[in-house]
Amino acid sequence: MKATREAFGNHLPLMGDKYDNIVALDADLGKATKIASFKESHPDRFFQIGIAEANMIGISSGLSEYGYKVFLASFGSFITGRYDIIRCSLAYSNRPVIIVGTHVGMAIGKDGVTQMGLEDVSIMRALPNMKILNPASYSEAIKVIEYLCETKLDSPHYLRLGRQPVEDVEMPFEFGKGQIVKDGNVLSPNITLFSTGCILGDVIEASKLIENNTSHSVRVVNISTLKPIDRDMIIKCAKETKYLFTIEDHSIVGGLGSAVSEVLTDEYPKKITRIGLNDIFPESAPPVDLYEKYGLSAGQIAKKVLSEHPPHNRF
Amino acid sequence: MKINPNVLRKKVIDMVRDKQSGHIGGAFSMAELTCVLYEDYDIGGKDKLILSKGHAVPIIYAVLHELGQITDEELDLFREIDSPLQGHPDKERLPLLDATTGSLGQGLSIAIGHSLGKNLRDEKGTVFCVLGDGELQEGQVWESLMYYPKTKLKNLICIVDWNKGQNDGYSKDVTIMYDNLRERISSFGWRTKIIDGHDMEVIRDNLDFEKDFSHLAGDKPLCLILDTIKGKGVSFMEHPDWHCKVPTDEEYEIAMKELGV
Repeated sequence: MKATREAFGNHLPLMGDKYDNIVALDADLGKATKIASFKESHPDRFFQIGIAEANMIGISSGLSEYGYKVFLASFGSFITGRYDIIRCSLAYSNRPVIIVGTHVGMAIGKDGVTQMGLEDVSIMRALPNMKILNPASYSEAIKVIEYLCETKLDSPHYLRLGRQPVEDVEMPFEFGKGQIVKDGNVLSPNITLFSTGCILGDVIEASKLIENNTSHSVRVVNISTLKPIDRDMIIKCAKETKYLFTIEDHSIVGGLGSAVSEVLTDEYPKKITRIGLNDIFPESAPPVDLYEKYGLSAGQIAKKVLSEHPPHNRF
Repeated sequence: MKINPNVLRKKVIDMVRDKQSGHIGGAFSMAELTCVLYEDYDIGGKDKLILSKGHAVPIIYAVLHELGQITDEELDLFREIDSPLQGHPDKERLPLLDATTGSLGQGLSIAIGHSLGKNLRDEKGTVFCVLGDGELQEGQVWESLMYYPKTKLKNLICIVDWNKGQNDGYSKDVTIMYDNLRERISSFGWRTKIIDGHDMEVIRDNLDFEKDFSHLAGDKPLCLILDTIKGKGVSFMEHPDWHCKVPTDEEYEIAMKELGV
């Protein structure tokens, strides 16, 4: 069990060894976001900006004009809260900067709503030029970080990372592609669960609960690139499976659920059920209790799926 | 090349009148500064101009036109469809510019990024950031004023165009900040000086480190507060009302006459 933010903290310094154009900016959350590890390995390319996220965003814009690949990190809620600065200084300016937002979702638990990134995807998704990556596991996060460091980027990217340790699901990563991480049991799948980010383990568990107790067969698709989203994968699943669900530890307004709905509306109209925060602010509590209360535990996800489609509907 | 600030002002009035939109007041207050920067420095080359008060961009289009870097045809496209000359500076569409700005308060942070980038790359050149005085009401400006002195770098010069006016009226009616503006910025770690922003020689001398500041350079970055008049150059435009007002035909004739040249 390892957190995706740990992947960032462990791997960015190694990428910094390999690429001398990587620069890291911190806004006094280096230990939490894990960007502080870059200070130890590359102090000359690390800048402590202080608790001034707007200034940090602007500085990243200017620095990127000199061939630097700038990673700036804060909590997802705080950094995307500086929307207009991101909009003008990075998105409209089209600067190839990587905005890292950690501590996303209810899964941070006890610190409560102010620290939870719950609408960050919605906000960033609205911005032209912005790309969004939301890896599900430690090893996928490593691959995403390598991609961001190795690729010549032509626009800003928002990288969303979780605080909580999660099961390390191994899967390939290709930018812009969804991955089928589990494809039904003996029967061909009749349900697709689209998942994004660190909730993937719970979604896989939910799929097994459903299969173990019913005649449903469940496909699980990990969508780590939220923008641009894998339209082909969504259409394929809409054609191949009868029932579609999205699951995200994020608001269903503007997040994965909205993104998948938009593709379906455009290309293959079909009912979809969006599971996530239903336009509400949750509260501070142990994560396990939050997931249970707000419907994101494996048991609650399975229950929701079965309440919509009882097993006798299969044939 | 010598540039006459009133020639730039006339071009600005022509642009704004032609397109029936644009910001005259804040462009006029920085006409002399614009001339000095483009006469003395390699703006767009090794020197950078981050126009944080992006609405004043007509004065930049005017100087680029005067220098032959943009054509008559391009100038005619100001605020038109498919144009590199956007209402506010757009570096993607007009690479002659050094930053995309227009949402106030953001330029000094971008300029600091340039300063850090130049330092890391060991590149020569100076980064100039021009802010409006009204813009100082944005919190991000103070984040960046607070941050930069710690870097000990001095390849960035912060310039405040203190023209006393903003969209809704006189800046002094909005906050008490302007009563002791110099002290406020100085207290954030800058060596700050108020100078006549309409005297090109004064601006020139004060931008020249070697000439005027070597004895007190120390570790502090330089912030020049340009004492200016919004709408400077045309008598009736020297009022906050001319933040983004378009002249009538009659006003246009008087203005062009007053600007002479």
